[in-house]
Amino acid sequence: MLEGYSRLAGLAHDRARLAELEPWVVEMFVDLGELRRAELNGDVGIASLEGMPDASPHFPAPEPDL
Amino acid sequence: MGLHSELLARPLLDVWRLISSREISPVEITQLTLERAVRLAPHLNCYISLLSERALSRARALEEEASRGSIRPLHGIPISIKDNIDVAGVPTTAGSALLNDYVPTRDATVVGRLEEAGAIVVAKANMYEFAFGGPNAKFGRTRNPWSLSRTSGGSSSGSAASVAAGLCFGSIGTDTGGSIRIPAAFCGVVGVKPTFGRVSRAGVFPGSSSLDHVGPIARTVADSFALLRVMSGPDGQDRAARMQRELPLRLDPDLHGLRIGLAIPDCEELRPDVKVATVRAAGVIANLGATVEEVPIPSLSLARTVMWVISGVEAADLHRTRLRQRPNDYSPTVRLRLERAEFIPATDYVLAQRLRQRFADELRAIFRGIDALVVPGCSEPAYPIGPPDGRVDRSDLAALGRASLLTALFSITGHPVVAVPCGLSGGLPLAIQVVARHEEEEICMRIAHAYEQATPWHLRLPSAVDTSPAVTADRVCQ
Repeated sequence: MLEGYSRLAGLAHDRARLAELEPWVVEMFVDLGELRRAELNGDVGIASLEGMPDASPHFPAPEPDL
Repeated sequence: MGLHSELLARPLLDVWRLISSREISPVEITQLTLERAVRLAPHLNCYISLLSERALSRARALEEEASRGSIRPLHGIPISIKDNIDVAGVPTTAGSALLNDYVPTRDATVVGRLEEAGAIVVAKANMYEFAFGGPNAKFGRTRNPWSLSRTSGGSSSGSAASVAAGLCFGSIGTDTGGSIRIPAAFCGVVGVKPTFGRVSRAGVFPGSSSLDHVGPIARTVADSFALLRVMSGPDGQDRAARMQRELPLRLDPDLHGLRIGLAIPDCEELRPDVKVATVRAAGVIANLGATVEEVPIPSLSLARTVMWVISGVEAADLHRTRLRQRPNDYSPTVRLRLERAEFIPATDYVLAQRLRQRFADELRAIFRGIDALVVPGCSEPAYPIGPPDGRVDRSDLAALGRASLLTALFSITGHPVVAVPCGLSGGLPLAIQVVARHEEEEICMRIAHAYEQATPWHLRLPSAVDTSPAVTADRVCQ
């Protein structure tokens, strides 16, 4: 998968570089699991938002809290 | 220690008063600053460029102005600027070999405002490569003035170290996930991450477009506030910099009537001495008249992951072309982190942005019951400097992760935060962060200022750089 993506994305890593990169990418995917678990749980740690609608993902600027 | 050397240990506003009353001239203070930098900056590795001629030329012009009775808000004050912020005619390296030939023709908006206010840029400060991945391979690591074997943190490493060591009276850094607050905490100085949109980023080499903030580092909260007031304001060159609300002239020291939330996260990474120092600091704040109550805090670990995903993807996008054309010109750690970020699915980036909004909503709910939040500054004091630059080191990356555990949440929500010293552990500085609602910098800085003035931590200055066997200079402070 890494090799295919690397080629298509124009990174064009050689085998040695891919071998170096692979454990870091695998580890990153494990970390990304934390995001999906949070989404499944529906909260970001203290669950006081239960029942609130999903917020817009629009950024960059957080709206002032005035 | 002579009178002149003692001057360099004073707060920015003290020196401004001396310049205003003509007790010292801009040229004198600039010369003293430059002499000290020539002696000590190489030992700390905190500067990339020393701008002696440029600084003295400006100092002479400001001295002439002062002789005519004209005094500006930062008249004659020597400052350093992180080397990802443009100063016209001076190379901007962003701590990388890739920008070797880049010499901007215009000042960053923030530099223009500071110079207009009379500040004198004496140096461009060392930093993590592209403010992203860790110490840079080209210029090397910045050492901590409290212990030369320790990191000064990052990414605004040279900014914090130069202020702590008395090489300048303030510095301007950038903060994407903690890059002003972490080095400020590690070096025992004050660092401010303003509200997202308070300070323009025009002329600043971007790290992560939706997370980048520009803010001051100084020895006291009042000094940082003086710098922030000058730096703030809308700017047509940065669409995010649209904040109109002005800051007051000075900080109100009275804390009566303020409601403070104290949040001590329950996580293994947070050292017990840091927890104790934070609780003690909250006790001091309560004694000053504020009401302090414990409040819950969202998951810091998840907030850090959200920050890494967003900053990683946005940085990978920014470096997309360079990474393909000149991969070997990146230091190994930065290259690894950028390449790895290319494999983050777009759906996870969008999910991270959605979670980011939920964190902002969560904090908004917490701030309905309080005026400010006090949390630890970093999970530990400055950690030992890692292996020689230029290798990817797992323990170094882990340390970077630990450092941003307490800072990332407020980076993704855009809240204003000030990191202020709150103690020493093993001779190394500790800090708390005081957080306020969006656009209410004066609230968190007012609390930090009152706390600072009631405690001795801002008066204790580092001596490692002066007592190093390789250096024979005078001490910063007796």
